[in-house]
Amino acid sequence: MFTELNSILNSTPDSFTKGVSLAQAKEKGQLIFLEGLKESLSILIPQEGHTENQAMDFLRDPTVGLRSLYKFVQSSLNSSSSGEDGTEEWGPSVLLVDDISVLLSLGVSARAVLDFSHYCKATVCSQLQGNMVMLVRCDGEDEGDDGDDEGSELLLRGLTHQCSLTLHVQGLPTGYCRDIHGQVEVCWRRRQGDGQHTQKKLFQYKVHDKGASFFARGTSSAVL
Amino acid sequence: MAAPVDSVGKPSAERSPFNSTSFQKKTRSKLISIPGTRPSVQNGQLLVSTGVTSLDYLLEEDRYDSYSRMILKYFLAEGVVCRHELFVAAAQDNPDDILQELPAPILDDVAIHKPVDQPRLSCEPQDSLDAMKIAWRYQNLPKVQSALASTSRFGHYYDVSKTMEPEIRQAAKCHRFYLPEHPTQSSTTHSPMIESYSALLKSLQEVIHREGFDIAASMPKSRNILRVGLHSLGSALWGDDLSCHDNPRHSHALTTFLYGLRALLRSSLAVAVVTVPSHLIQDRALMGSITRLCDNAIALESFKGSERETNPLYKDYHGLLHVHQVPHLNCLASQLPDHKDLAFKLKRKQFTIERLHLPPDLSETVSRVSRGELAGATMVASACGSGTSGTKHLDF
Repeated sequence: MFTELNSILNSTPDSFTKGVSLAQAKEKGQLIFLEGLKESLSILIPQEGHTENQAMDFLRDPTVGLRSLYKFVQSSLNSSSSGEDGTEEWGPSVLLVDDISVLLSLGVSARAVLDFSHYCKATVCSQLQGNMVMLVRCDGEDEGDDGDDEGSELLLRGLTHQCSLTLHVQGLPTGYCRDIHGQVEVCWRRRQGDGQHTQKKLFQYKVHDKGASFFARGTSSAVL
Repeated sequence: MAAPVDSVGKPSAERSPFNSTSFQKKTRSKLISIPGTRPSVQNGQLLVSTGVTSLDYLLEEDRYDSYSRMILKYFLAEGVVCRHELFVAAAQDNPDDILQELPAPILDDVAIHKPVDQPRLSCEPQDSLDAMKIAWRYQNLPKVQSALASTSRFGHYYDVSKTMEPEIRQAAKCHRFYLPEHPTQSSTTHSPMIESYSALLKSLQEVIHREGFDIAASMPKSRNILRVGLHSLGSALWGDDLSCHDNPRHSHALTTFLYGLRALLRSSLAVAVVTVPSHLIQDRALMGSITRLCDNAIALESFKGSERETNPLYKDYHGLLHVHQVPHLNCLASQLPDHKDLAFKLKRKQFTIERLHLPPDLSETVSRVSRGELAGATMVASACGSGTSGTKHLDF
């Protein structure tokens, strides 16, 4: 599905099974899905008799931070990687967060989100040798001097600093185009010798129904 | 006699996909279901492609809230005509007043059973006979009722110079939320949402649950859609200081509410249209968050009182329409409109949205440009106008 992206990122999966059933994975315990939106209602509209998911506790008071959410992540990963008798041994864990900027809209501070990300990285990447993927949004447009925008700026800078691969997706600077939906800048941060080495590459992309195609600038099939 | 027909149809050459009164299914055609602001009926058909019926629409109000109110009324009127249930919430105006001002539906096309995309004016003698009957049938209420019941059309036309007949309106079930009627209790939690929004969310959830709009509900009766119209959220009328201060105390009240609203809608057969006075909200980043929390976002920019009002480029229109967000549910590629320059105008009987195009050059004096910004427009116009300079009227 993403053959071009795989080659850009120099990553080829060992075995490529066509078609993955997420529902099956969820049943087996391979996929743990926290659907924040669904769980949020029981906290936003308090009702008796409804059990709340503690992971979403920050909705009740955003100033307490995301400790409960982190605890949920930690316990989910630890329980699935323990490999009890009968259960399959899964590969390295992957934590996917879509999308972390929503937390800012709900009143959580950028600091708290960065702390959460840092703790998750310690657990997922260092401890469990897994990977973490986070979606964060940023408004690249005119940043005023109002304080609110600092939140998403701070979050973006902090996350970019923490991670080893960044894909910065944005629209074309020239505006909307039907055949080229935007550009993506891939940025690798590698430790080489004393310091860090950053490599950047710019591509353009187009989104289809079943995936996205990536190409070098100016080589879109619509142009050539 | 000809007037009702004119207001209903447009010449097919000029027909734009963005007719504010026709609610197109998102799935069916290339037409974006953005009849201006709060588009589309989330019918059962939507379930096929996206799997979700529930979307919410954000409408950024124009400066005086005149056109955004109109679109809210269109949305509600369509609900009445389609026999959906309505839920209207307002802080300042009584929802009953809003409901009484709904535009009257033009039901002739329902009775004639013409397909949507055929040009209205046909040269068959039979049609002209039907055309003569339009105004006559309009008066005839019992026939109107049966026409309403049998309609399965997706989108109707309205006459904004008339209000909907009370009999038609009362046939639809309406739920109201009028903020002054709900005394606010002090909240015990430190939730960022303010009391008025909490009360609204709770009331909406109660209606959804009671009337059986939950997707998971096992009600034996036939399912219906709930249309939710929320007027002027974020304004001071709701107790929100988002539009009053640069650093509001409740900076996340509206966003948290929208998050909760989205959660509600996703699990029910409902569609919501929310108007927000975005011109009062200074924080662009916050406006961005608000936009992203909604599935569709459209902003209306009215020319009233701005320097664009007198710009001949815009003389045919009353304002511009900006699309800020299109839904991308259960699919990777979202439907983006082909044309990004949209403008709206309110004629005597109809509110329409079209692609912005230059007015035809019919005047002799256009070639004399007084303002620099017109230079671009007249350069194009003068190319075709030079041949006709000296003639006032063009014959086609």
